[in-house]
Amino acid sequence: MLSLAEFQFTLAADLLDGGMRTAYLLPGDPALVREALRIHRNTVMSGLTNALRISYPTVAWLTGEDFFDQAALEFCSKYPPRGACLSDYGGGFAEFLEGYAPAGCLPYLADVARFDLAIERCANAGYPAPIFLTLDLQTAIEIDGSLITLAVEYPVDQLRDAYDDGDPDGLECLDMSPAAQNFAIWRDRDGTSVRQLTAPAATFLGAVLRGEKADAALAATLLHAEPEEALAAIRTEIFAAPYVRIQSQPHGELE
Amino acid sequence: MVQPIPLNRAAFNAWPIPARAGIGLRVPHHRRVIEEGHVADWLEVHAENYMIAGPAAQELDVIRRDHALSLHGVGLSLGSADGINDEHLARLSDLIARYAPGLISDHLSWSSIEGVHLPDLLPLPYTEEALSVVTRNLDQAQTALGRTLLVENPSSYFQISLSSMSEPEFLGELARRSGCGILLDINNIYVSARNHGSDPQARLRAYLDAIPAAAIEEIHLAGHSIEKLDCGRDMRIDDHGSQVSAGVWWLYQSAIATIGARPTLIEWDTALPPLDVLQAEAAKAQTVLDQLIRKEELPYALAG
Repeated sequence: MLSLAEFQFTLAADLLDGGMRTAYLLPGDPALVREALRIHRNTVMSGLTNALRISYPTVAWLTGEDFFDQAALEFCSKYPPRGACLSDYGGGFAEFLEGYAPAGCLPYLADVARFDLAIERCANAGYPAPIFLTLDLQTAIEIDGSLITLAVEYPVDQLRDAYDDGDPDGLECLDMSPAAQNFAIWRDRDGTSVRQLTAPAATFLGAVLRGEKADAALAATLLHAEPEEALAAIRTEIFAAPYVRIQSQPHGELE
Repeated sequence: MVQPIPLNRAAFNAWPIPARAGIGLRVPHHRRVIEEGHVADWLEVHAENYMIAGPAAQELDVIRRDHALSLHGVGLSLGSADGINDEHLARLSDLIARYAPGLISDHLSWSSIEGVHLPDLLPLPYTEEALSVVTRNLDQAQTALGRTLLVENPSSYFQISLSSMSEPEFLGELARRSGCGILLDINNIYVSARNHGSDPQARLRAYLDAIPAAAIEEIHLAGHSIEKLDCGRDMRIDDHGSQVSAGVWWLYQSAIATIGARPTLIEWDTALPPLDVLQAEAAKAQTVLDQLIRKEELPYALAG
């Protein structure tokens, strides 16, 4: 006799791939059994698709419902969730879109997905402790723990703005030529905020968020920028940023 | 910068759920509830919607000040042969510590197997093995949470030939072995009966005969839809997207006439109406409860 685990594994497979392996265990009119399995499959897939739609609203808006649903269905069937909180689900959708043939004519779509997810994750992040960076014996900076940095190739912030404004006409004047762009994303009282970063600021901030001390973060920045440019970027874009607080007494070294 | 309150910090005193009608609270209604201050005798929320530290959790902090609260989960997967996900249990524990809910519930179903989680309440075969698995999972959860859980009867669209006992028998024995409470979903009884061609009243009687009345600590009422299938038959779908049907009101009336007043929740999760529609449904349930208490003739006639 089939064990409970075997039954559950087989039914789960049926719901993910539309199979009918468990049908022989479900007595009654075969037509009703088929419909019942379809109802459960629809519940699973619509739940997962809706979760993706919430995490990737700009992608869904740009592609339209039919395209998004089809892409989501394929992603969800291949990569079902590992936990019950659907707000955690959907990481990897950007990478999936990069290899998704129907999205081949939309080279910016994966970056839009990365931006959407960064905003969603930032808005719903736990309460991470702030990051302290000691600059010298008297000075440290405190960086908001919700801060995320993101490097992309397309003007994803402008696409997201068009979505937020419900303005498809605004897409027509966008320059969609690929060019390296960096963003700081953080949570504040009004929700989630975004600010574009220059390359030196992004390099420094990225190193700090990875746990580097100030000297190492600066050294990494100077590999790709002149000292004057790097220091100006760090001073104006990071030290003066809304997600940073200057401490006159250091709280100690970063871990 | 935002100074948040960690989710796992206790913030509220205990507030028992009264044997009165309550409303299922969904995120789109948060603003209205915060503006009005007090909208129902008690509220129930889906636990998983508040396990992340976002705006919804902060709004619930405000709402909880004015309302008794019940937590209703969909993610424990009590019927999973693999057991319960420890991370999910820990998140639920944090939520309980923070909100001090009057009742905590989940479903007689499963959603996870071999690390894959499907967002649906999937049916169990009612076997001795399944009873042992659910009892074991419940023991683990109730011990970890330090609270009694209520287990809700599911709606079903098919039966499983592996079953060796009925659903009411399974639930009754589960309550006896684990000490859990039962959340009796009247709409699910009605939907399952109609889908399997049985009499809803007879099905309700089977539940009330098999489950000790004292174990039934909460009742759910909800709407369902009727889907016309390609084969020409009807299937009732437990979609929680409409008013409670006359047949379900009649069953509810029969249930509380047998077991007495219980906290009764109006569940409405899809095609969400304005808050006053939910309040009107809750008022109907309260009318039935009030008339029971006054031993008056109950208002709903059989409508099939």
